[in-house]
Amino acid sequence: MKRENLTTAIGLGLLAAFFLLAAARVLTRPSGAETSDADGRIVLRFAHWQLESGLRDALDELAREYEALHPHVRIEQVPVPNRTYAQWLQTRLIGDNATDIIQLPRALEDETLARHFLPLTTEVELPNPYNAGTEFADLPWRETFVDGLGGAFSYRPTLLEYYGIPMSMFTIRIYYNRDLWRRLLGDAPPPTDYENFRALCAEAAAVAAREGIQAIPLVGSYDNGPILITRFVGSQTQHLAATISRSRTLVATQADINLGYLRGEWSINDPALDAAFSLAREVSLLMQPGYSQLRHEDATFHFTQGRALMVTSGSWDAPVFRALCDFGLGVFDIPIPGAEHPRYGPQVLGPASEADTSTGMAFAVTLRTPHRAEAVDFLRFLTSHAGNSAFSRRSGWLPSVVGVTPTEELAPFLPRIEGHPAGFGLFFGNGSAITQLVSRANSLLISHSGSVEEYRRVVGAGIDAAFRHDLGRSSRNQLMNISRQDLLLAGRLALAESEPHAERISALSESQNQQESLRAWIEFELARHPAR
Amino acid sequence: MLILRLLLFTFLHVALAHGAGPAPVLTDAWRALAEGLFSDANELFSAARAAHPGDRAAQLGEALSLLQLQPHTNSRVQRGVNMLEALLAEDTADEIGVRARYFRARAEHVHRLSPTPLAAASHYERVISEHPAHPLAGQATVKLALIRLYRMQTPVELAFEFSGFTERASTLPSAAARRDLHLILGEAALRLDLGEAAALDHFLAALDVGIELRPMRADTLVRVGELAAELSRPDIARAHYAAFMEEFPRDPRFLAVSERHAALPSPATP
Repeated sequence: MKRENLTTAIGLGLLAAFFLLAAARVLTRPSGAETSDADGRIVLRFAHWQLESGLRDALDELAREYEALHPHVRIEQVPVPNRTYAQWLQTRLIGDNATDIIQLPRALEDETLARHFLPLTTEVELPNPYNAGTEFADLPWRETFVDGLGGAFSYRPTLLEYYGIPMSMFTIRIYYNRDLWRRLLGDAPPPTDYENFRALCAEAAAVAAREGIQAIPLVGSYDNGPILITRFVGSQTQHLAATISRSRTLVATQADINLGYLRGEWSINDPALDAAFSLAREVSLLMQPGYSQLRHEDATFHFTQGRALMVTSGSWDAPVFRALCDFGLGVFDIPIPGAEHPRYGPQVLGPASEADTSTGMAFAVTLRTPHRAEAVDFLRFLTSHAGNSAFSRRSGWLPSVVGVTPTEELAPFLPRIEGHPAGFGLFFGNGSAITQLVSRANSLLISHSGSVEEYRRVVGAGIDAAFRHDLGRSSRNQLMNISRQDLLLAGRLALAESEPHAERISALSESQNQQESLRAWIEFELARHPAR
Repeated sequence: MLILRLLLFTFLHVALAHGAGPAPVLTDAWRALAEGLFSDANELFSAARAAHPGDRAAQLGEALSLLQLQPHTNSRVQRGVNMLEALLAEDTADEIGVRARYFRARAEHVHRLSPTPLAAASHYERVISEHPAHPLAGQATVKLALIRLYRMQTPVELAFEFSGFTERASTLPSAAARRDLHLILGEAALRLDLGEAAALDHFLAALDVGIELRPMRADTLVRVGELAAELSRPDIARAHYAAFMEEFPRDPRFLAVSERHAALPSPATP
């Protein structure tokens, strides 16, 4: 045999050997991690990406309490870093070796949910047995949550099924360093109005410069900046949003915003937007120059190191700051301008309501878990009144269950129930093209050398095309949902004689017809108003 | 997974070939379709049809699963359409025939990569004219209304279409279709400038039939309150604002609605 042929044969032989070895490994591997331990106890695993301080400890303590109540069950926590969570989840689900319980990520397609997760629609309509003896004993589990499980993580309207059981809810606030505050601002109380907020930022900067204190008054980042600016911009578009609502529902939908623009019902020169852009610029300039080049971790680092007086973030960061900061931590609500403000007041309806704050950190049960009953039971335990109280107390996160009294530290984070609907933010709701356009123009608005006029000129030049692109994309997405729902309906129609699906068929057709109506309107207006 | 699927497929062939009735298998297939597991449904329907070539229900199921089987291609949709046409060529009057006609329309309306609403309209019209009492005739009317209302036409033509569907709305064979048509006509009245009074009547009719989705019910109560207040019908506005406040205390519109409710003129004393 020639030398070349021998080399080829060895190569092919090795390839075949490795293939057989790999095939043998795949065929002989267990279907997932071990489902029981050496003592014969059921092992229930739950995965999540919440690596914040205190969270894992809180969940661990609850797991141990559950084990004490159910000695035949052992609970294991599987924390996965956020950056790799999506890939981890996809691999585990496809490989059929996912954990029994999984924290649901934000973007999960209908098919993935339907294929890999257990609908809990029946279970959530039954009382939670762990609420026995409380005022919630007879309430359906669903009604014991502050949002009635109406949040995006819990309920999937296109499938008409409940999947996620949430542990917490989140609000946005401004945190401040009490020690640094005292050094820079003395006994001044936290601001309650916008002008006071600006004055305090200016005062803090002046004192820091005069006394040589290395401190940024308000630290921003690519992540923290927009969540603050959005709140301010939303105050200026409250009137406009209510006015352009064709649906007469007192809030502007995404279609109202985009189609209202195409129909000429509002323009980039609207006085509300003039005020919104000016306010956004003013607030941006309160943060350090170049803040949009930093990420959330950088802002957190500045703040926890005592090099920033204030930072905007969500309630999810409260336990992190408490663990990392060696100074007193204060919190106040974002001081949007009131109706009495001479420049910005005319556009404001009032403080924005947070009553629709939906819940998060939602866990779902995987469809192929061998311990379905135990997994559902553990979720009931976690979200009972007592379980969620303990979770909130130990983790420092807001509760998701009604009637749970948060700790004193959490009180400033409670959602503001009184208020008006917020308007739309700097990104005009959402949409990939408009987000790109606004992001590209952003430096014109937030940098010292920029201006509202220049920003408006650049955004105005691209807004028509961006809205058309986003409307087209939205229409295509709706078409995908509508056509999928057709088959869900067909399946349910066929099963209707043998299974109690009638009510779901009616709800599904209501949902589908609403989407078709919206899509028909979008397509009609796009055709009626050609590109400018 | 692949091995399991092959085993399942083989098992189904053997089971069906040995006289196990198709019903339990079809139930599993329809359930897979209802749960959005379209490739599973397609395999189950194909196996059932291979074992019982004349089974019209299995053929309908396979045709439907092809409309959404991934990757979604023109040729797959066309195969599904051909199977639906074959069912219609055999019989248009039985239950399978009615469904085949309705989904034939849906294939043109929403399943093709480039939908053709006008082709869909002719199939919807046949469902309505040939099976007027069937619940799918109600849904076909709703879909037809969407095609006819949201198209380029003169205001006179639009008003004619709107009035025609308004007349039909209360006569549809199912409550769900009546509700959906009223909602669609109410929204069209606002979006296409056909009048607030017409919109109000349709939203009130939809509420009477019963709206199932909570967000839609909340929106409709607010709309009725707003439109009735604008049309100087304070009693209707008051009742619907009050219903909204009672049913949706955590809605961010609660304060705005309560302010509007309080601003309405006092109810007339008898």
